[in-house]
Amino acid sequence: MTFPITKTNGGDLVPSARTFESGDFPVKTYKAQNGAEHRILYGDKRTNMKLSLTYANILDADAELFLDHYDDVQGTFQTFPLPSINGVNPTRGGWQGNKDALGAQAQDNDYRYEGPPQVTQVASGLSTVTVNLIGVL
Amino acid sequence: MAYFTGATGKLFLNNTTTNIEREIAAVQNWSVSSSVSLVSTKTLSQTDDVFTAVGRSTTGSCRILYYQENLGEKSSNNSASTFLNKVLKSRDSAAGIPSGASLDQNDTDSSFNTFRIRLKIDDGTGNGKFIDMRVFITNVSLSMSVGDVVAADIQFQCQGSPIAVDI
Repeated sequence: MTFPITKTNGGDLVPSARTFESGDFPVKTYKAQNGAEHRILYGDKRTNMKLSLTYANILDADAELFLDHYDDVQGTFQTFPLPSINGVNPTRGGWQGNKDALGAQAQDNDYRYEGPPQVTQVASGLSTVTVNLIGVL
Repeated sequence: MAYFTGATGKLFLNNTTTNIEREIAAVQNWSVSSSVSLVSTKTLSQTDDVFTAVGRSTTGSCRILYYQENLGEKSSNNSASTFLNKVLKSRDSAAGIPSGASLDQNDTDSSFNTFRIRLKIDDGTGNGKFIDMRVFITNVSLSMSVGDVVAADIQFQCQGSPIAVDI
């Protein structure tokens, strides 16, 4: 099962809010006694991107897709890509910048869950889901 | 084309047990308002607001004159007393609450805490046009001032959706 990007009754599952932290390259910083800073770069790929997606007031059936996916990938254990439909990634809905900038795949990262999806029931049949993902090499 | 004025407005109380409607005699005005709660389902790729309805709330108010059919005798059946007594109550030890009184607003049928009213526009037909609902009084206010008739302002909240609507 891929990460949910399609509603159960059709149409793209686009988040209503998104935050993205672009992570960092693996850098170790040392401070010398004279105060000078020394940095050692241990890799050439940026990692540890953090992507938080909020799907406000979606159908419970759609909210369930995230819970099922979390189970399929064994919680925070397995990694997965964020899929696209015809070259369009619904998780990036509304973003008009470069596709690579807001993602992890360009740096050879995949995502995994940083924690379990949070589901808040807001009305009968409607829930708000927040998923927090982290990019890992 | 027919228009209606306040002269065609009526307010009824319904006894749940006997299902007999009792017209409240001295109603000066009534109003009812229904509002729908929406939640936004707009996503990042959309420009205009999109909503889903998730709830509805119906409230109303009325103003009823306080009077006595015979001076010195409380008219409890169809004056403001009918509504006042549903909320303003003396201490009742039978209610089991120290220095308290029952919050039950339906004195005739203990299976309901609410009571039933009918807001009606009399259009000359049998039932007229009406909204039947089971309500809680949320506020009563009895005011008295020089040069004015004593009246009670009542605010109520509908329990669930109206029972019957033909308006």
